[in-house]
Amino acid sequence: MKCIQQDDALIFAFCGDLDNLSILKIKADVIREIDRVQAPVVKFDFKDVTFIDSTGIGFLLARYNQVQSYRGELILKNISPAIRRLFALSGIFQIMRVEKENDRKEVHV
Amino acid sequence: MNRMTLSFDAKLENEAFARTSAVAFLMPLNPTVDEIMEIKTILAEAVVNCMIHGYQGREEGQVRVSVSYDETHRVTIEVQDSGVGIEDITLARQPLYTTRADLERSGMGMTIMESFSDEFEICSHPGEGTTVRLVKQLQFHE
Repeated sequence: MKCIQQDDALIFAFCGDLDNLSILKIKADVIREIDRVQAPVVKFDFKDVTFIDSTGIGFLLARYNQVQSYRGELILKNISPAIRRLFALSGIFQIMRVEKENDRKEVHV
Repeated sequence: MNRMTLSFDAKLENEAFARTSAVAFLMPLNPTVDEIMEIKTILAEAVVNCMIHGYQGREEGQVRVSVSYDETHRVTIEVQDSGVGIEDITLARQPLYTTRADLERSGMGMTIMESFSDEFEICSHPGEGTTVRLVKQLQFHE
């Protein structure tokens, strides 16, 4: 897992199999970093995630509540079709926003 | 018909072993990337349930995984524990219902198993344990 600060965003880039055991290993660090920085925007990047299950959904919902508690926003990035299908079952997309590929590009027509 | 059975301690690090072993056993069927992902997810959900709920973290408990397939590529997965069992199966199957919100469980495990399989049955007796049985029909590939 990599964690960087970019402008007003705190970005976590997860990698590999995000299963029960690996979430247990990273959870405390993620919680502490979110609380320490209290960034207006927290982004979770799933580009290098090869596996995720319901443990990941529970982790996501808990971090959503954590970020909400100081009125921040949690945004998801690079959701593959397989992850999207899994997350959709839980209704996560009704409360969390997914960053589009071109969200950060300025578009002038 | 071809079948394999694994039995292992209810230690969290064995969950990855269970899901990758099941997928390795099914490789002769040449499953698609999506099918592999769904089978891995089914195994992860079922095995973690045995560890966290069935045995409530007691690592000496034994989890038994059995995977079989036939010539029509119909795959049957059984995951069994001899743990505490489930009092109310209908309630346990409700999306977002969990008894372990303290562990940040989402309550989505059974919903995921059900939607990634073609048949999903739970057999459980309080004090004796739980067996989940799933059937998944894989596509035919030459």
